[in-house]
Amino acid sequence: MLGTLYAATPLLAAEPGFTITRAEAKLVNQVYHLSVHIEYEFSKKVLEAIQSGVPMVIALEIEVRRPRNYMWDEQIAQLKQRFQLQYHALAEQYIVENLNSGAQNTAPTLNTALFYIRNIDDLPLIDQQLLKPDEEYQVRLKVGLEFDSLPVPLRLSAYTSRSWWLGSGWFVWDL
Amino acid sequence: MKNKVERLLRQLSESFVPVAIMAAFMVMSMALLSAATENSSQFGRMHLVLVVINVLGLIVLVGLIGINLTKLLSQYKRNVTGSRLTARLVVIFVILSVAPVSLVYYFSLGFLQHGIDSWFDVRMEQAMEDSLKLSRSALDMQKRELLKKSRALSDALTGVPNDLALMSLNDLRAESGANELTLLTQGGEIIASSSEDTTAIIPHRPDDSTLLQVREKKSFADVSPVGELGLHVRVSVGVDSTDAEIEPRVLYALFPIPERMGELADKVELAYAQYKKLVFLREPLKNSFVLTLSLVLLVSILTAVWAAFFSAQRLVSPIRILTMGTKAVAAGNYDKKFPPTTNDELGSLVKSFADMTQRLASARDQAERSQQQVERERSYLRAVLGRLSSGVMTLDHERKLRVANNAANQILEVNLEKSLGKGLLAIAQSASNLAEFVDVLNKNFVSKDNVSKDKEWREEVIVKKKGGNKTLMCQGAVLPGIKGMKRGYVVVFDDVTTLVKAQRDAAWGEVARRLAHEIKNPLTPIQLSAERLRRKYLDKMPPEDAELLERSTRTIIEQVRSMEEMVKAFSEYARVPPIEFQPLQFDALVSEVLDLYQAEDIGAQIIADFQAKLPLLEADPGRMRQLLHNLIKNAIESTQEVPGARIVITLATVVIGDSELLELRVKDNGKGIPESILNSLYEPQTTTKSKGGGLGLAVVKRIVEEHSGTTFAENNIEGGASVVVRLPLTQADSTQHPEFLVQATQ
Repeated sequence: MLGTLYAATPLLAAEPGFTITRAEAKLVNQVYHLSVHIEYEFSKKVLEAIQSGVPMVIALEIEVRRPRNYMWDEQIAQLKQRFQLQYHALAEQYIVENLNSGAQNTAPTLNTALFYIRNIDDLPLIDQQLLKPDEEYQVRLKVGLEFDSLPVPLRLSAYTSRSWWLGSGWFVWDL
Repeated sequence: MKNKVERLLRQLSESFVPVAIMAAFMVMSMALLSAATENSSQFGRMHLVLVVINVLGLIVLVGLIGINLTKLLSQYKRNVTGSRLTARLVVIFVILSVAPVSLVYYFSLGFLQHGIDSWFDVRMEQAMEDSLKLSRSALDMQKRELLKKSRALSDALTGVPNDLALMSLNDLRAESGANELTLLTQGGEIIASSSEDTTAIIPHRPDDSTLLQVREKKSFADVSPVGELGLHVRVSVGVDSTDAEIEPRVLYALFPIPERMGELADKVELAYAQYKKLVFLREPLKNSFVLTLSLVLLVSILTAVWAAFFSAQRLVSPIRILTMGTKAVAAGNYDKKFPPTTNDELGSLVKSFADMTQRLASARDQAERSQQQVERERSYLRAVLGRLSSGVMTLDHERKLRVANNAANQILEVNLEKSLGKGLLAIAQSASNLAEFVDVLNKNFVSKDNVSKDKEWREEVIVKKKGGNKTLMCQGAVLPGIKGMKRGYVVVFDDVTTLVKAQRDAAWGEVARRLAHEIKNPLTPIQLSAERLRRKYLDKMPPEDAELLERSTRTIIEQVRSMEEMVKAFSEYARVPPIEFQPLQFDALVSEVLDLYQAEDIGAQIIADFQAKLPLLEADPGRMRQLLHNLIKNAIESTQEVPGARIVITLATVVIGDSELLELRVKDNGKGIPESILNSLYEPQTTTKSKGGGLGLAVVKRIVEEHSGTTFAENNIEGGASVVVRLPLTQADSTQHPEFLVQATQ
């Protein structure tokens, strides 16, 4: 299972940016569980920042919504998964930390470090009982860098420079 | 709506409170921005918002300045009062505020660049790298040592079965000083684990790639930060199995770095990480500081510029009010209202100016009232003077004519209006017949000047004129000078000619009557005596004596008769029968009288030249006949020794002034009138003839005056003299008033 995913990654490694290649929600014990696969391609500028020890926060925003005809969509649930990626110079290790759970992993290369956040599996999304059976629901998610966690001097250039806008668009599918 | 917005904008840009609030707000946001730039934890999250707020503030400021600037420019173009001073003040304020701030900005920018750059140094960087390497090699040594130790532990576990492993692990951990010892299968499943931290539920385990390496190379060790515990050495070694029942296993050991070393390593790591981060952030940091500094500068400059507009307008506003007030006063408008201004010296200046204007206004009103009063009194005086029958003249201190009323013009028969402001001598030169009058005035005023200021004088003056001299009774006085006005003179005069004439006529009448009476009385006895002498002695005397007697007595009788006639004439002059006016066709009357003369030989040719259609004349026919006889006799007498004597009698209407007159002119070609008697021609006893009593022209004058006419005599240029009589026609104009004619006839 690991092998298949691993092999799929490097083929589309041209344009910098994060891409959600696959996402699905499975019903297990009346709770929807989310599985997402994300490809990360950093720009030179961001790579440089990571290598300089600037902690980078990658945020995955997940929303469950009920589309309505003549109004804006109703938001049913919203959650955010945040991961921090940081280079440890002395240990020459990349540290990946899930800021929601506090789980921390280290890896000697960036690629291996990204392994920990490339696949997000079995993330509990919503209880089925909260959803009405005859209604239609949508799940949408996007992933991107969290600029507000950057050091202040970097923030303005991040907001104004293309090389920092790596976020994916909304990935939407019906639940 | 538009007005409201405009008013709000004006209030916003002109009143003090919004300015102060805005400035305070900008300063606060600037302070926050600079804090956010320096300290990320406190205001870090607000940084972007603050930047946006400040940029918006800048835009608002630029807008306000733009409004003020366009307003000022349009005022400057229209040359509105005060705009030039405002513009100058604004320029000065802007220069004064912008120049130092810009200098500070320039140098701050330089310091900023240099300051940040000075943090970074090649030697420093090298030292950092070296210390990191040193730390790494120290950690490597530690790592190798611990790897060796782990191998020994692995050897100790070789023969230990899985179910006994936990006890061995506990012993080994205590012995080796490891934090955690975990025994796993080669697939990664945990067999047993011993940890110093008893609260940890899930032991640490090596990841899959590590396990892969262990399977290949039997061992793997690295230094890695473990959670919050800091740096640890992680060692994974394969545990060989001598027993066929026991599968090959992996020992995973977590060793703490010795405390002192760990501390140092952490410090080095921290310093290095910070340094690296700073190197990376060098440009963004500079940009960020420059941005903040530039924002601060722009806000300061724009606020200063705005404040310059604001304060210039406030400063100039009293001056503008003053200028407008001055203009209004210069234009004669004293009623301008002055709005209250500041409390400073300029404000009090405006207030004083307002007070002054008010006083000027009241003074002007007062002056206007007095002037009106003076004007009223002057016109009243003029009206009084105009109605006076006496002539009134006033002279100033240089004896120049100031005022002359209508009566003065009529009496002196000159238009004094033209002579106002002229000296007396100039007046005398322009009208020669006023010489005596002016002499009298000069003489009296000059002599009175020195004697007494309020002494009056009174004198009779004879003014020469064509139709006879005029007698004026003059009264003069010195007008005292009042309050800076120099003294002047006033002279009042009346035409007393008629009065004097009447008195003289009355006196002559009395003389004539008495003389006639006194002379007439002895005449009859003289005549009777002469006749008796003749009757008694003529026949008795010898013829030669008789002839003498006869001649003497005849002379006596003739002379007495002639004297009687003379006496009769005198008494007739004195006796004035009542006058009876009636409408008269004057040309017919003249023709009738002329007929009498043309019948007899008078030694002169009489030519009548009458204007056709002469209007009726209101006159006494008897008096008119007497007048004509006198004139014609006069003319005949003056042409007696002249060959080719000719008397021309003309009748015509003339218009003099606004009255129509009938003019009778008797013109002869005789000797003319000597200059010596021309002036007293009409006086009784004035004659050039040997015969006659000299009463002819005196009678003529009396009759003419009775008919309100005028008469004068003049010498003709071609020789001889003319006597002119002018009688007014207005009283009985038959063509216009036939009814009046009928009534008058009755």
